[in-house]
Amino acid sequence: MDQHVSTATGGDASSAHLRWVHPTGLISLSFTNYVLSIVTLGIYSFWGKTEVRKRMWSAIRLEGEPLLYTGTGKELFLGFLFVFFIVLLPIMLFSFGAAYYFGPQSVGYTVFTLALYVLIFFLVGVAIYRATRYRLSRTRWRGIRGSLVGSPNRYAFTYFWTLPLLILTLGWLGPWRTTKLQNILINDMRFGDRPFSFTATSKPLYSRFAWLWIGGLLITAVIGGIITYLISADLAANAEATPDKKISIQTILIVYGVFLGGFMLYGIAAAWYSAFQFNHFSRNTHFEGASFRANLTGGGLIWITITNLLITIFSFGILSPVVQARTMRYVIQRMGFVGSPHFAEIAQGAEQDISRGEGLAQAFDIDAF
Amino acid sequence: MHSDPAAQPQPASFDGRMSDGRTAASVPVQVSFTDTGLAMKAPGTPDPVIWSYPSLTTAEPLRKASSDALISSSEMPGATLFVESADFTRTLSQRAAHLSTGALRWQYAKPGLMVTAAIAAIVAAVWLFDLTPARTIAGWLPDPVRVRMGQQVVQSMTKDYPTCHTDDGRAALDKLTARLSAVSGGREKFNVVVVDWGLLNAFATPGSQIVMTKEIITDAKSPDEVAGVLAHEMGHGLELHPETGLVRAIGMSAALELMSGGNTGTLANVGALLAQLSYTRVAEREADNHAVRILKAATISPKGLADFFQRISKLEGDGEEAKKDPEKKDETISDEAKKDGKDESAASERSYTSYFNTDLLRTHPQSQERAKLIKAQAAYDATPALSEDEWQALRGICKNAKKKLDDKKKADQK
Ligand SMILES: [Zn+2]
Repeated sequence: MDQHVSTATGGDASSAHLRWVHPTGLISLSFTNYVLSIVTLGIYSFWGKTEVRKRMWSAIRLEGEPLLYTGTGKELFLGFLFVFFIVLLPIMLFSFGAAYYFGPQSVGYTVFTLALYVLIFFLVGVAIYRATRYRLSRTRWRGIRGSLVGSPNRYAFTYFWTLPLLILTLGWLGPWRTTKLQNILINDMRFGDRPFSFTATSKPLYSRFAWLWIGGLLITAVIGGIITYLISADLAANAEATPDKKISIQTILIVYGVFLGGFMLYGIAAAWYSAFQFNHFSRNTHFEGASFRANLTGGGLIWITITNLLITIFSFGILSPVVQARTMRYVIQRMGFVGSPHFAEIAQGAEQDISRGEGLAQAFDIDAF
Repeated sequence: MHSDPAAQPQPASFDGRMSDGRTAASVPVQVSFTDTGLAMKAPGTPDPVIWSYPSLTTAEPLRKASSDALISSSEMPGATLFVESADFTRTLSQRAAHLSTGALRWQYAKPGLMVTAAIAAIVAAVWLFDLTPARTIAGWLPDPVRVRMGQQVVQSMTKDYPTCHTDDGRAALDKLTARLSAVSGGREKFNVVVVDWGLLNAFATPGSQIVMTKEIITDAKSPDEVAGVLAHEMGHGLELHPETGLVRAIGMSAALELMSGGNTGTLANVGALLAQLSYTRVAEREADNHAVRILKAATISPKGLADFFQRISKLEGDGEEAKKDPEKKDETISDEAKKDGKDESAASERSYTSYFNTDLLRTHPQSQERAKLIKAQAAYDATPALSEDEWQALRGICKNAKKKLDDKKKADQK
């Protein structure tokens, strides 16, 4: 395990040391959480999630000492209640009211829906930032807290205004946008009283992105071509049949197969790109004179994604703690440092009051781990 | 080695690292168990620091499999101690039993169990004292909102099917509706829409709107039957059953969302939930009671409604057989095929996209019983719901719509 890190990162003996100690008893924890969640009508899930996080955090060892997660189930629960009653319920009631007031197909309702989407996209940005801030503030190492010191609105605004441009540029804004957002997050990040810094540009991402984009286009074109050919051949052959028998079962199965094949091919390309991006971002994330390193691989990401998907499906989602741990193990084992911060000089940062959990993020299904 | 840790202070000590919580430095310490608490001695310091056992907390609950522990103490806030030793954690869990998995999990589960108990108590109270929160909220909806809701429902249900209209048929229907509406005691006048769906159905929507299919009229043996069905649906409207159903659907989806921890996205499709509305037997009895009252006040015989339920109960018997024949489900119902009534109930099994479930046919199995109850009313002087001419006009209200439907069918076949 340890050799793995050093070969992965190229850090020498004096570099800060990162290690993963795989948590035990995750399967029994998964089932306990599941049963208790059902018995308590889902309310325990916030406490269950917290216990899982505690295990994950303490599996990460920096200089041999574990990270500590200090968040509580109560905070997550209150955060959820807050968002449910202050954000979600009003949104739901307003859109319901608008549908009846304006009529479902009216101009007024369309305008309302657009305005709602604007609000929701903005809230997604707020949610990502707040969830990150909450987790950092609840993470300690040697008693020192992490934090995120900027404003959620700045992040949310960038997240929001780049979204239409992302669509207009057919995705080509993507690498720039991701870099920009990561830049805001990392530069706002603190451990104790010391800042992280982020120096990545999106330029090195673009050559790979071009391959991904063209690959995606080719895959779409080939799938489209094959399906058009198959269906038109079938329609010509069965011109006299009733509408529901014009296309044969075999053709339908082949079409599904082609879709699945194309989807997997694109998944491989996307994993290849994501691994590169992760490594690029890590290399350009610095803290107190040290830099992160990572060497994720496309193959590794695909393997972990597919095996995790199978575990999730066959356990009906109950084993999600196992899935999370496997993902984190893969990432942490392939991460490391070059250089070593002078930890003894890092003092506790100013206390932030973040009493509520990450409700907004949960409401929009954003969960990094 | 440490088979009996409680007997004597442990002679052995463990290697640990301690941080004071002010800087991210850590110093090596020797940790040992004493009678008063956990003792930590850093090299070059004269006296060990002692944390009493009850003051300790660990990052994770201690399990048998734990091989290390990150410990803090309320006696020295911010400071942490990390010891990597399975022997150490085993001894610690004996010295400080409150750090074990079971104890902590119970502590975590308690709030959830309390909320569950509270919810159970509320549900029990609602059930025991016959509280109907959805109904109460439905009662708070302002009239324009209810009318608006009803119009939306009617609009979305009638847009794919022809609505029926002839001038004299409409006049006859309006006359009957007005006669019943005037004595119903409702806040606003009822409005009836006739549609040609090819199946037997009638239901009330919010805001005193009633949708009735052609078959209610054409299958009826007398105008009194139609009057009875209308009076029954008015009963639902007066009791705000459609509004209550909508409020309940919204409430249920909100509750689902709450229970699933906000992960289902049910809030996004309240519309889908509306499709699952159907009335309880209690609601049906309320509507029947109103129907009987309205019919009496309008001096129309309740026998029509009783006959209708009798006919329905026969259809239900046949319907059971029709259900077993899946081929019939997707058939388009033509007039010829419909004569024996079998296909009619097959048609009613078709899942049409309606906001409200088939009110009349889904209320089985007590149609027979309902017919009896209605017949048991004391007799009174009654006049026919409509004159013979008006009745014939009403029966023809869909003749143009039928033509439209045929045209549409022909167009589809081509
Ligand atoms: Zn009814």
